[in-house]
Amino acid sequence: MKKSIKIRNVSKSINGKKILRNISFDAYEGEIIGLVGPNGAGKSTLMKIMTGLYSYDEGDIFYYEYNLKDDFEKCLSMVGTLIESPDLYKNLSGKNNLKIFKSMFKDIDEEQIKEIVRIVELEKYLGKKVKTYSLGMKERLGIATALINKPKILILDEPTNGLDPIGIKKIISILKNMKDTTIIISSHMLSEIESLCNKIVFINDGEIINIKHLDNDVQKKNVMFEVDDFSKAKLLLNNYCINEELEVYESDDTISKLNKELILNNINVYRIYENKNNLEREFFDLVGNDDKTN
Amino acid sequence: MIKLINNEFNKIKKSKLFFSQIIFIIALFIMKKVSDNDLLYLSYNLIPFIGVSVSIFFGGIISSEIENGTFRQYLTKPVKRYKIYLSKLFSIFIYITLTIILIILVTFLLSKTISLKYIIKYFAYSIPAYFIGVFSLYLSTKFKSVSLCVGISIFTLTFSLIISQIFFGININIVEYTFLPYLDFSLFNDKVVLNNMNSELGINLNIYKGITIDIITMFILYFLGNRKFIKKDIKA
Repeated sequence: MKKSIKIRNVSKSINGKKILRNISFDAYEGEIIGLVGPNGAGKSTLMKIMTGLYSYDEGDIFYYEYNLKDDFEKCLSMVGTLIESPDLYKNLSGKNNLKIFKSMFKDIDEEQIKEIVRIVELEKYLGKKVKTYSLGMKERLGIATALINKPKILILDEPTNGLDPIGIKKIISILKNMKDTTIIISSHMLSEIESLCNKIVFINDGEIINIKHLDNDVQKKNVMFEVDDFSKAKLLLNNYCINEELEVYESDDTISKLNKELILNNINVYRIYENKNNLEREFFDLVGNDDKTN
Repeated sequence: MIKLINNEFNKIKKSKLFFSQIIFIIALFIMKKVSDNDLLYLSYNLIPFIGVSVSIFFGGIISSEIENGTFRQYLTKPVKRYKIYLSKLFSIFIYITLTIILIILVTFLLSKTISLKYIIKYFAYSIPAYFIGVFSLYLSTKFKSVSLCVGISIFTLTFSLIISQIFFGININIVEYTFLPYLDFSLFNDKVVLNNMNSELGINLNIYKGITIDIITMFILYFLGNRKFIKKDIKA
């Protein structure tokens, strides 16, 4: 896999306050990276820097072999972005909005636009003014403006914010179908991030505090065992447990094997349940419960 | 660049600009109807209103996009910011130039007389309108509020001469080397009034100085605004 994004020691101060400190990470083609952190952690600032909305004091950002500072136009011609809620030109139709964004790229033909409009399912509403659109439709039009140049890299800051479950499902399905595109996404919905991403970058107080690789392809599950004799079970499963609880991250076969092992050792297993809030718990472990909302 | 300029006109809503130009035509018809004076001479009175329309339509040309959040999408596309700033300036200048051409054309149709001298003089007298365009663009990089930008721009256009007269009254004659006394060149139409004012206040206001100072200030404001816009963090 080819490296598509290389971020090295990016720092940013606003009014003398360090907002980002030495941010460094890499992304590869086809990877979906989730940026996770509490409000005010610096996720949006990082995304705004990556899309040219903010300047940065130190460090380098490379899109493939191009440096954002030196080859701004070349870099952003490979990138599609959706930063926060998509505030488009409300008095214009969806079609005219797309026309405006199309004009900022070279060599985009009408067929490409039609294809994108089909993907975001807005064919019927394209002639209508954006001010008449629902939030979900605006979000999808925002995605369309982000996809207009068939980007190799997609940067999305809370793309599902305020959407209903159907809207969220539609956006996730669009993103899942984007093969070979590197996607960087931030969201407060951790379950959504966990189901979508291969890698999670935890940011707190302007610093990367952890990078976690999620093995979404392998059919492993996070399960908890509820038993009558915790200490005996803990001794037996010690090599498999991922924390102080009786929690393991294994395939169905191994989980079944462990269950048999417990029963053979006269331990009553009351319940085995999947823990879907793994990322959420990890998030709270790493950043605590402090909300840094300004 | 042409595509970017076209984008600016699409965003502002061409119909509003067209409507403003219709008002100028109606004003010329009314002038012709109610006044016995020479229409060529009267048409100069429309120039300050070109400045007002520029302030209204273009006053928040940058700040409105920051306020509405549209820049969060627009500025993430692969176009350098100085080009976007330039396209906004060009769209203002195109609007002013087209309006001037329209006024000259309608004046000619109504009065059946026109001269090259009149056309050149009309464009020269319209330099303050171009100045207000650059000034409005600069203000919109400085302030986030659209109404503040429009307000400052119209206030400057309306009261700049009064403010400079106050300065002249208290012997701060350095003001004659700023743009303040040169935002309405109709002052230079009446030579008697101008000469009296110059000799009474001990100053030397003249159109050549006005044109030079306005153009130099336009360049300075353009470069300052462009620099600010290029470095601006788009917070919204």
